[in-house]
Amino acid sequence: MTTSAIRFGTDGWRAVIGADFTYDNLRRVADAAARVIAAANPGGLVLVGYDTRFEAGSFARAAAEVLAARGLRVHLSDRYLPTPALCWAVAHDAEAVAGVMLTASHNPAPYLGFKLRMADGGASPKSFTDRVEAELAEMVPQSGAAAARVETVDLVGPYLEALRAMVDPELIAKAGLHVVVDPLYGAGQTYLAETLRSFGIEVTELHAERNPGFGGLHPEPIPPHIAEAQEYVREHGLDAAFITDGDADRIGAADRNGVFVNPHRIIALVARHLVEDRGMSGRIVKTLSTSVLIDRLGAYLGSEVTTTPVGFKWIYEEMLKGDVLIGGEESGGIGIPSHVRERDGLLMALLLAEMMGQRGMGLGELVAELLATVGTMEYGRFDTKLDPAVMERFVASMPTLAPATLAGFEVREIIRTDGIKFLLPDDAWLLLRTSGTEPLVRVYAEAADFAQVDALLAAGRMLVDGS
Amino acid sequence: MTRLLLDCRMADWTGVGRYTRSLTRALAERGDVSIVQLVAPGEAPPVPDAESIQAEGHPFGLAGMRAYGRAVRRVQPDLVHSLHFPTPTPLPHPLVVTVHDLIPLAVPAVMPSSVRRATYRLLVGRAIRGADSIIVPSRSTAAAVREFSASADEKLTLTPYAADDFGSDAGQLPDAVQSLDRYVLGFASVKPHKRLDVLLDAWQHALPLLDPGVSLVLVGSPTDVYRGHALARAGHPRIVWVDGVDDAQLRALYAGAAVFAFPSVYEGFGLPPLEAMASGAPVVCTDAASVPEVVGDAALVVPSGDASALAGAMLRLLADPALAADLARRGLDRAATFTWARTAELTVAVYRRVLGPSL
Repeated sequence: MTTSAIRFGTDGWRAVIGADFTYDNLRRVADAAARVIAAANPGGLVLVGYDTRFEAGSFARAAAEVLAARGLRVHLSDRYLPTPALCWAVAHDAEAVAGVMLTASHNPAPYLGFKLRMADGGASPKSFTDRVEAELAEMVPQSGAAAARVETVDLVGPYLEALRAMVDPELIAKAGLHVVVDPLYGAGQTYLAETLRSFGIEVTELHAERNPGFGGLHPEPIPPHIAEAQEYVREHGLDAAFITDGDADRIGAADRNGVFVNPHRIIALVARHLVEDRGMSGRIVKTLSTSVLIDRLGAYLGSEVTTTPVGFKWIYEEMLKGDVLIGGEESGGIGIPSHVRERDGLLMALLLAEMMGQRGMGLGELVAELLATVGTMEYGRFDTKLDPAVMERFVASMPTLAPATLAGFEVREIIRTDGIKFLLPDDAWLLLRTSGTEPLVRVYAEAADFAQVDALLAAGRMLVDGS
Repeated sequence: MTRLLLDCRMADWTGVGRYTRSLTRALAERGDVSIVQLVAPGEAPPVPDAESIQAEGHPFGLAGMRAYGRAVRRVQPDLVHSLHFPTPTPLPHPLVVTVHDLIPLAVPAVMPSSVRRATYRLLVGRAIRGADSIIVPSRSTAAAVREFSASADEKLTLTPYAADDFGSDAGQLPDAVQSLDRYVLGFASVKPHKRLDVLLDAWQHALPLLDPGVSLVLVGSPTDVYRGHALARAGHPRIVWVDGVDDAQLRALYAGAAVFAFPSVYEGFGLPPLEAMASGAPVVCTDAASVPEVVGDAALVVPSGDASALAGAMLRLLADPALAADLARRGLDRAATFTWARTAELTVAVYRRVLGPSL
């Protein structure tokens, strides 16, 4: 791969290990990032972490040495760690000017990635990664003599202490829980389980070893990848399952019956807990593709709900503006800016456990209570790959696409901030979003029942490719 | 007058039985057809004063199919209507078959034996191929039949069922229910697709949030699903079991229910929610198969298998009397549009298409 082929996506550079993700390419990327960071902060401190993927620790050291070679001070994590731990460490180290995380998040096992974090722990803005990409084209010789400036430090311990301080130990202990924790072989392993145990919760941890092949699992905390956790909690009569993705910034959960508690519901539960049980306030931020249940809950709680384009970076932008209580998206990435302006799967698990303790209810009961308040909606999504010519036609048609009805629903409003979102009666909606990197359209719909969702998805397909 | 032979051998079943009894009576009340009821030995026909004939053997067995065939030869009807998928041997014509559902194929747990499922497939296939016309109660079942056999498409006619025999003639509530303050009503069926487990999960989810005066009344007796559920070990699950209820008591149970909860994940039609609506009970049901077609916008519909959503909907109805009253009113209005006379009318229209203008 040539340097020109290296592109930063929504959250960094990701590629297949050994094919595109090579030491050479990583060093080029790290060097480009180092030059951009050092230009603004000569000699600044950069924290470097890594997840549990194949050779991630060695890649991290290689990146750290390249950063150091550009005169930056580097603290390299002494062990694998969750992305939110690295972000928290950057945000809470007054000297840290940036962070680098070697992770491919929820992507399949062959991948590894390079995430950049800013001084507040948040994701790097596009303007920053554009500069890094521009630097990639430049070949600037480096001395290679500064490896001694890489210091190996404990980034995990202080983060876990901070996590523990975010919740009330007595409330969690009161729940008397026995839960399953499934880190899906990822970087949440040991840390979430041990933290929960430290509160007196009994924990059975699955997939808690380094397994670069992820045992054939796809480390994304949604069905069907969480089937073992669902089965285990049901079979053994436990209270809940908490599942984190490859770098533990996303969360999934299951109730005592093994029923998946989707991220829409987790966002709503945690928001409700923060407002009603802990007396906190602030805006609830969701993306265009997140359920309308969040809006209904906001109205119920008296909390303003802000809707952003899809992607956590937009939620982060809102966090920068201030007065955000919680922000989350459909994928399970949920963050609380008073902790760090980043998603944190571990914190969400702790807050759910705290809510269970405080309200004396299981997860299923909490969801029932929530749905009794906000009602139920059905949600559906599919991605469709298009012939490039069809994609081109669709993209060209998007600015003027304005049907009066969709699947029998009257179109009440059209939002074009990210793709096209059609707002329909009874809180139903249809969203069409194009991929920026391939001829692919994502179609989302929410409505009162499954048949309506199906009809809306079919209407969406018709708009996209006429079929 | 056109003479029909109706297979009423399953008249004492639950759903299929109610269809058999109600349609047979509604057809008998019309003046344009005369009916002969095929019944099992020793069983009373749905219309006692109309003609009937007995057939030995289980309806699904070869002996039963042959006995059905002999009855056809003896009666010499103008048209044979199989009110469930068993058909006579040899196949007569004209033949109308009602296919209520294809549940064992959609939910294999209903019929775990692959041999029995293969036999079921053969019998259903024979009925679909042999029928001159096929009656289905819902678009969902029509789609399932089409998927089973594309050639069935042109034979299909949608003929919804009804529940206008509910809503009046309510009897006494069973003793165990009479003292209850408010209750959620459900069925404790052993059939896997009825998902008693989901109803129990939902009840378990709802319990901590419920007013202490609210109970769950389950029609049936404790099943293995219940005995294996955590609620069975709980101190006060607030479940009242009522077994052996007759139709009059069932009407009273529906009419008195604060909520009727229906967690089934597959139905060919879904009579119980319609019966509950006809009785004025607010309904919570799933979005499975035909159920949304039946309830329309007159029930709270939740994702099938989602116990939390079912519990949430129950709790909403229990906490919001205005919503419950609105749903009850809409349910009554909607149920009133389904009558057995209309079902009979649509059924006779099918006969007319098959027989031509002679009927």
